[in-house]
Amino acid sequence: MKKLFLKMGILFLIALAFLFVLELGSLLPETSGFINRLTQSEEYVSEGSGYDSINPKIERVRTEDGTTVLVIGDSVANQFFGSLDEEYPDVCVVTSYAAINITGQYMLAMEWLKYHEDATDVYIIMLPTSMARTFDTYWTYPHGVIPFALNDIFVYLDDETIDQMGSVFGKVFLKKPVVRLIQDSAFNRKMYLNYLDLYREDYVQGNPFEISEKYLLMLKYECEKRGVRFHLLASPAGDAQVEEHKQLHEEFAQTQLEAFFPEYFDSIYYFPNDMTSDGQHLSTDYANREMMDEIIREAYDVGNVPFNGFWK
Amino acid sequence: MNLSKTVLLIISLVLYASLDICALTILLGTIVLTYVGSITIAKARDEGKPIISKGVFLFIVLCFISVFIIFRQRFIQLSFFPIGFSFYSLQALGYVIDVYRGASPEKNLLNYALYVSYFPTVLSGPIQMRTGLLEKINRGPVYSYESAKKGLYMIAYGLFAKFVVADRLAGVVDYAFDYYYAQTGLALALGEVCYCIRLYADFMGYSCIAIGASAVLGYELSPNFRRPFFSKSMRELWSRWHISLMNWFKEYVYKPVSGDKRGGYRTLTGILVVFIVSGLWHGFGLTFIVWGLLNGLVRVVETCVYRGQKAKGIKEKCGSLINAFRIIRTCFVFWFVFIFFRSESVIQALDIISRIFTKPEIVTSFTDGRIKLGWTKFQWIHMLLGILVIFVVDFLQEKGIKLTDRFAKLPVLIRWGVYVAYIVFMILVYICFFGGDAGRFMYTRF
Repeated sequence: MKKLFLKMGILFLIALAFLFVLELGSLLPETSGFINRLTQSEEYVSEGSGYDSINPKIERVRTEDGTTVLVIGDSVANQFFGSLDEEYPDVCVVTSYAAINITGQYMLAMEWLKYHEDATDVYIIMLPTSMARTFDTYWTYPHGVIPFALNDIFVYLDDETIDQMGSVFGKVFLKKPVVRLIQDSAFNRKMYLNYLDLYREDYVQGNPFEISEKYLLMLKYECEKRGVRFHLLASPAGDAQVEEHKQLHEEFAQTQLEAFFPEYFDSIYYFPNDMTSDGQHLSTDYANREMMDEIIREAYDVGNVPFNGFWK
Repeated sequence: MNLSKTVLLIISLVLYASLDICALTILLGTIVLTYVGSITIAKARDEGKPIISKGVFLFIVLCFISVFIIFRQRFIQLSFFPIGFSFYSLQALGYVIDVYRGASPEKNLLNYALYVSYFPTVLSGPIQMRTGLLEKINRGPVYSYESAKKGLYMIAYGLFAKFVVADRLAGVVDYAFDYYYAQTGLALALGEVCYCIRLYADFMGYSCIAIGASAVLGYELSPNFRRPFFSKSMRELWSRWHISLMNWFKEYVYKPVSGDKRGGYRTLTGILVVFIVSGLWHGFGLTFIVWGLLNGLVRVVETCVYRGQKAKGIKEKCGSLINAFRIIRTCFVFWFVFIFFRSESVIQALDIISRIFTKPEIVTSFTDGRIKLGWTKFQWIHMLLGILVIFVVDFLQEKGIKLTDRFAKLPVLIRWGVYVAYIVFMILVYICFFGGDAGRFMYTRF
């Protein structure tokens, strides 16, 4: 039997050696193409990944360009406001998408504040559903962890948040060297992202706005500390979301966010669902500058709510 | 109980609990109920109290039937049908029936607990009779290098059958059946062939893994599959397919129904009842009952034809061509009845059968590519190679060639080359098919 265990041990080492060769091959530029084909990881090559989308935004917020107004937010905000910085040179628009979570929005804002001492305003424009996002096993890691960990701006997150993320992703997978290994290898990305999807669970928030409550209030505090005005605005929404938003408002009202942002839910501007492609974003027929400007004017000049947006 | 058995029992219970901690209570409950019940039955029997003996026996049988039939659907809806219950419950129930019939009960609770919860077999069998595994547990494990080596070969083969063939075929089968209304008859026929192969590779593979693991642990188990697709009749097929389950039904359902007398209507009734109960054991739905009934009817017809030939003195013809015909005929019948087994409803099964035989659309299947059932040519080639391996192994074994013995005689370099190639191959297969589409991780809504 000792002989059997010895043979099994040798075979186990051979298996480990093969895995090591695969790992090394997937990281080296000369062999990564072959390893990707061998392991059917070609779809996981990094072009178009979260890092490619978010890294330019991190670089943008770090650029000392003299902008005094920051606009961040979800993909709906990106659709409406994403191109407006061409029109307003003192505005830095780095809207992205909900997948980076509120923690990603917070890190972008904090980094921008660090490099822009003359800042006057920070706008965060999001749908309630975007604010209610938790750390999930699909999108958070590629979009909300990799770009930020690789740019060393995870330091803005507190220990409790790191623990919460760690409960989903594993703490070791939040460390920069490990994140680098995953980002640089399509094979690693395939194995790890699918491992998350199959074997890990999303972080369960006590309240849908548990994470947002902390980081929105922290951002508000950081802004006020610097004499910067902080604005939380709602992205315009398709009217199919009315019921869902009503339910989220009940949860929102149980947090401190209600006290600090009492008009948030009431200020949501709804447009006909027929104008959307997916219930949230405008379809290509309506996603033109003229229509979007009209919606912005309607959305942010509603009733008695005095939004003094940067576009005025 | 010696240390190795104690450790094995702890490992079995911990592994089971790691899969489903709630189901562990059902497993432990089954062990305690049948252990205490069997001792009570034996004691009452020995003391001449048949009413108590019969009462306890009927109570235990009713408990099992209740969980199975009355609560099965409800438990499945609540996602609480205890994993492996279908298998270990038969094992425990068979043991109780044996004791009721006169066998001595197992006095050692830990030995009995190990018999029911034995981790290689607790989830999906093979179902072990009291005279098999329990007696071996009492005797203790028998370790040997040769049987452990053969066990590892079986595990390796089982992993190949399950992960390379069965798990990959699942996608094609689901594609065919979930969208059956959009498939040609020929594509559906192919989908059903894939289902039969998938079922075999999956179950045979798992059985190989279980039997191989048990061999390494020192307990030899009987085979659960014996090349069923080389059977020349359905009678032979059911003696080669899921052997442990059919043996259990033969012992505890067929014999009581058919009685000791061979022949006559009781035999035929016994056959029908076995297959209907077998259908119900697989699932409490009409498709499974129809599947069982069809199998039973085929077996009854075969038995009647066989008896008729025997009565007239007609000898069964032999010859390669005739045997090949019989094998193909048996495979066809198997393929046909399992359409009901796979379908969501009897209506769907009948619709599929109708499409296969009335709308095969042979040419269209190839011209519009529906014959590929969503796979690429590359995937089909790989799958056919995998199926070919299983077929070749079965064929060689059917010819009486003991592959493990032949392999052991090969030069050491070749053997190690095969080991390394196998490991590299299995790792690559696992990696290649791990997870799903990469697009799920891309947040494309901007």
